[in-house]
Amino acid sequence: MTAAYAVEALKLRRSRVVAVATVALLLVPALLARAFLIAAERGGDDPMSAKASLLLPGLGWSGYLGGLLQIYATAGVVGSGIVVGWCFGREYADRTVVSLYASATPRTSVARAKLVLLAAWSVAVGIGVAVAAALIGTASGLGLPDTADGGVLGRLAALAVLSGLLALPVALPASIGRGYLPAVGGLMVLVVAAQVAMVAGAGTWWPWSVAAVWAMGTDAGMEPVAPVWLTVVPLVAALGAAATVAWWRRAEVV
Amino acid sequence: MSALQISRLAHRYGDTTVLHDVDLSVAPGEVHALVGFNGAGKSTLMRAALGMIRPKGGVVRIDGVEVAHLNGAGWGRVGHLIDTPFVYPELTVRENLWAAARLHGVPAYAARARADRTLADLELGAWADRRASALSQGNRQRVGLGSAFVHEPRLLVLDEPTNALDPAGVLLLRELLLARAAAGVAALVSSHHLDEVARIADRVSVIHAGTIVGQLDPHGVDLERAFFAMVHAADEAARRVEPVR
Repeated sequence: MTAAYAVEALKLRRSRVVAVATVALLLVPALLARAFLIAAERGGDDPMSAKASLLLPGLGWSGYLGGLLQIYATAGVVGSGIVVGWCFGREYADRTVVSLYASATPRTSVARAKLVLLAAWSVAVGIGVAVAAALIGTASGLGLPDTADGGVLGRLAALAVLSGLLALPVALPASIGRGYLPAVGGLMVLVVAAQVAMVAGAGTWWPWSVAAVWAMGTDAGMEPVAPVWLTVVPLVAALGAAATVAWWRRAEVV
Repeated sequence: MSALQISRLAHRYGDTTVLHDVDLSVAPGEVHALVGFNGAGKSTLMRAALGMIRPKGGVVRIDGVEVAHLNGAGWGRVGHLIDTPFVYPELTVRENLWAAARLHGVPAYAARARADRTLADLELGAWADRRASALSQGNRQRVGLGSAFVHEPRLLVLDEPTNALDPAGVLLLRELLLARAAAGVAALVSSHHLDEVARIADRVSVIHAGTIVGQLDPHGVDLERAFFAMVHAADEAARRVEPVR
């Protein structure tokens, strides 16, 4: 493993931000979805039960996973974006970026290592999210998922991976703005733009919406998405990554 | 050949000139101190010397190679502490030094040993396996110095290296620096502390208002008086050449 990958991997492993975000992404959306399902199954007249019934596409596994997909569509980008923003913004906020200059390891290698490791982390989180969702569903009395539910779990894993990739461009505002806050601002812009795109009918092609629309599927009342449109996700991730690396190459210490 | 050669260096931020026609060199085995007031241009000069900023004019060469063309191996012979110590709070002290060693080009099989040796050199052994977030500011500075020394560079550029150090830390740094210089390492060190400079430097350059205004004899008497006289003379000279409005 090259020096940049070895050091960045160590920093990610030791980070409390990454650890907390990972656990939160694995558990919080699934537990929320399960709570919504309990409220919906209760079927009472209270506002919570009514809202839960409206939110979920059904009961049992289909209701639980349908709610989880809806929650993860936003939570995934936000959680992953916080990790990406921290990973890049902290170098500026802590001023450690100064020590990355005048080094045998080029800054571009450090930036690339961060991006590749964050993409790998997204894949691990994607697999973990599906496994955690299956375990929570089974352990909380839904029984074992059937084949169709397994397919939805696969789409959930894919959505989680794609959400991680969609958060990579947050590295750019974190770097240009030299801190965490610009990263949070950039993340908010992405999340709001995704909501606006959904309302405006652009959800089937807007990069930060298309993965969620595809994953939720027509069962949840979404428009069908041609799978080829999912390729815009790695495309914007690659563009954001390239712009970030270019910034790290050119930026001076201020 | 100089380890570091700076020729006619010039830089400005907006309309403000921060460096003007700076010439400076550091030979192997030499400790060259840079003294001046806050805002005199010491840190900007060091940043330009290390390629952290692109100066508006002039040339910086390390081992005869322009810094813009210096490759990884060339940078691997440079150690620096500029601005903030290289300290990641989530890593232990040992891991920070290991990370610095790796990033500065030390191969994986040797990095752990280098980190351990630097822990001993800077008397950080008691904190080796503690997270850096738990360190005092002085010990963070020691880790930062360790990160500059850990890969055994041939050129050291240290900006105010005694910042936050206690007297024992200052003494330790002095001994380390002099030992490295005796082994042929070139060092450019900025400082506010003229008495400290007198103890370690072979040459002392005074920087004022972005330009080198003279040299002090580190073994001379009353360095402080000589420093203020030089700065005052530079101010007077600048006033005389200012155009009459």
